[in-house]
Amino acid sequence: MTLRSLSLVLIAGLTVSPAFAGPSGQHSAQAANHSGQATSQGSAAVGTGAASVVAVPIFVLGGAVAISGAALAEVGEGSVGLADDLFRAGTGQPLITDGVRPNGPPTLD
Amino acid sequence: MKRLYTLILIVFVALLPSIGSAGSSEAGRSILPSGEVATFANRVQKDLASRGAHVAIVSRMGRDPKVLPPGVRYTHVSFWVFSQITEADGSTGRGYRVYNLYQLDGDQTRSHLVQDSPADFFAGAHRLDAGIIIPDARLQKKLLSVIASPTYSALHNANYSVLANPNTSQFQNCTEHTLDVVMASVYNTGDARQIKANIAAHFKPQDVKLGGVKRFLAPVAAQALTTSDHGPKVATATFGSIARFMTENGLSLQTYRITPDRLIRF
Repeated sequence: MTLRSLSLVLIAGLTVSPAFAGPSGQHSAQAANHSGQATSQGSAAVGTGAASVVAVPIFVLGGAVAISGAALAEVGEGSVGLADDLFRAGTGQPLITDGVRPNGPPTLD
Repeated sequence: MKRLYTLILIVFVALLPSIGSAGSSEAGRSILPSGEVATFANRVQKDLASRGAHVAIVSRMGRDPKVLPPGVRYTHVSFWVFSQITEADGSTGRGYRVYNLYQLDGDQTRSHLVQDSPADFFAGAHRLDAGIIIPDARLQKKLLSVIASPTYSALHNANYSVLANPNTSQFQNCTEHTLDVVMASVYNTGDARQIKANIAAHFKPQDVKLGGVKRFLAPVAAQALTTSDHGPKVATATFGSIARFMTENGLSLQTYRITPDRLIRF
């Protein structure tokens, strides 16, 4: 009886939480035909490997936004492509935030 | 007693494969039929373009919502940035590039920043259903400045936890990095300490109810499920909590859901 209860507890304890773990996985298999690695963020981020896709952000206030050309995914089986691994600049060290006074509520005005 | 240990071992071994497959699979194929994924990716791109969005926050459903904790619907969040794109073969176009934080394929406790395409993004979807936040135009401009600056990478912490506490910097996941970038943009700062102080003061994360046994055992099964950065309660940044925060503070223009055949306002 104890064994049965314990096994139930273990299964119940582990089945839901791990299911939450799936999200951020990288699926580089393509639904579309994208080849090779992407690079060039126009920032300090550094791409790795051979560059084959260059993407430059566009921001012109009031400018037209329309999808065109190579940006559209080809519908059908495509090749497996590798995405762009940006250079990580964060230290990963925990920060001491005690004593830091927060700013006021967020506003854009 | 020996029987008890054997049973525990059997239970763990039986569960490990499902835990493993719940993580990232860098070289895997798309979960759903690739044609459907590509069509949906184009639909989302065109929808964003029709609304004049230069920067949007887009989330995908990487798991069946039935297995997710209450209050959590989307499992991966990223920035979509309207860009001039030149492919390897010289072909060009205009569309969205996706800025992600992904777990490493070989080590689920570590992450990296990755840029990919909308179709790549939805290759990891369990269901074609995206949550979208279009930030206020002023915030879009600020976001773009941060994304295109060293701050974007500097705010990345490679120590990954599925349930990272957004108020601390011990662990981070894709949603927390998104929130950090939003806060950096809103407050015009790259100071991570200030960003965390502002998140603690103004952002309400999503409570995740975990029983004591579940919380205790989860990191045994997968280290990325650690909750060691939390107090008695576990709360993490989610697409929904970011959407509420942005709506309540006038930071967003539109928040909605898109599926292959429907648009639904939150």
